[in-house]
Amino acid sequence: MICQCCGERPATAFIATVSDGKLTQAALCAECAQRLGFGNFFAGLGYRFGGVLQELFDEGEGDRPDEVRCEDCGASFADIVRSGRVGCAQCYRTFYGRLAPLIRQIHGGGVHRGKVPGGSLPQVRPGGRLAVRVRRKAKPSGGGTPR
Amino acid sequence: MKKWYRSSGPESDVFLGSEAALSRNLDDTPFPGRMSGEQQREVIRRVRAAAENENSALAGTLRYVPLDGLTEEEAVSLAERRLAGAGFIAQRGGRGLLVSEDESLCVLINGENHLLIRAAGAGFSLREVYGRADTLDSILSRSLPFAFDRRFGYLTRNPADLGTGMTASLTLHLPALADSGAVPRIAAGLSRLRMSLRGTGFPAKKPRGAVYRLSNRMTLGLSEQEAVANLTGIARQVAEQEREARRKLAGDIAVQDAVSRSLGLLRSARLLRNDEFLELISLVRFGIATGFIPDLSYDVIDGLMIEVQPATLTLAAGRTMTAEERRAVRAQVVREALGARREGD
Repeated sequence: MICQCCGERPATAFIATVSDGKLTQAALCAECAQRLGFGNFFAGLGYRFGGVLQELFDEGEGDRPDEVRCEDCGASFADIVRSGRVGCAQCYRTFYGRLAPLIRQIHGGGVHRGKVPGGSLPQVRPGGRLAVRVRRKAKPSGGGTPR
Repeated sequence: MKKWYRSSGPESDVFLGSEAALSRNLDDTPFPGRMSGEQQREVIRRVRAAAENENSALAGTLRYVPLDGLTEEEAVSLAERRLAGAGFIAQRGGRGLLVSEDESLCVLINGENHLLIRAAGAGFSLREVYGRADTLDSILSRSLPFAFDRRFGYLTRNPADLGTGMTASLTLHLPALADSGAVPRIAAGLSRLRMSLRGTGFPAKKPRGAVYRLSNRMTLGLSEQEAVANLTGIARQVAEQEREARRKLAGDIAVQDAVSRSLGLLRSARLLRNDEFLELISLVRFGIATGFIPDLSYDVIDGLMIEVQPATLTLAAGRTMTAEERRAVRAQVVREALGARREGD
């Protein structure tokens, strides 16, 4: 089956879609699935990491009995890589050493600069920067009364 | 109460709507995909308690809709009304949503993440809708422990969404850019800026009605305000390109003819297919923007574009219909909305 999005490459994934009042499925190739946000975060990183991740995509690899599993949800690192989905918040702590370089790779090394839970007021984080920039004062315009 | 999509907002000539959606998870519960049925029910109970608590600022504003009790038509209508994506309604067990009466605020529960907090508004109103999603998020976070890490931000099931967990998007009507074939080139340029411009619906290559969605793809490394400002700046540029392309088309007598014929067809058709409606209404919307059609407003057009979608139309009619009956009801609703004179008037 050919990808219904690009009409060129063979389809490898099926996603839910609504068409003419019905719930149906659309066939996508890996490239279009990735571009439309349905892809696996880890797909394509394998080669850049010396094939370490690629092995985990292969059936049966990475499911050793001694594999470290998240104590909260039971996911292994191989489960996360294969599904492209993290099991729970604790997984990010359990597999931090292995996930962090991949996250940096995809997100360009950035760290969080946005909102923190608890409110939208400006908050000082451990880094010492304000989460919300203070706006520069506007220049007073000809003779107006400053508010 | 009037639904948000039946009103017009700033710069409605190009912008049909704005949306901000925030992905959140509970720190103490496995993410969707690794939850038991009991855990799913417990997440729904906790989110509802946070939203429906009589001491909460939200008390009485959001109504709970369990997904597993919905018919396929009711579920598909949620997608047509842009309340939920197709992926969310495809698996209805253990899922639900909280929704405001005007449908501008909603919380999807147990979809890709435990919560998707979403605000929508008419026209180019991204800052305003982000403000409302932000407030809803802050209120819910008072009683729900959202998973968060100071380096990675809000912890999401898909690591691609880490950071703000925010998808901000604008729905644009781009008939002139679509006609000139410029959209793929613009989309390719935006992709390098980590923004996405693509047709709504599927397949997305050339959408019916020339309706596109512009959204941010960068969530880690910049704040919500910066992401909104970046998207706003880009959207202004795309809108200006569209207006420039419209000015070139507007003087063409063949285009003026197509606009007038489209309005004539919509005002007189007795049977109307959905794809035919979308193509005609797109030309009428173009006609309003370029001044050929002075007696219609965007709120009527944009409301119709949602209300005559197949599942939503069937639900409003309150009965099952054959395909032909649905085309007849669609034609009647459109004729009345566009002010066609009744027979004998």
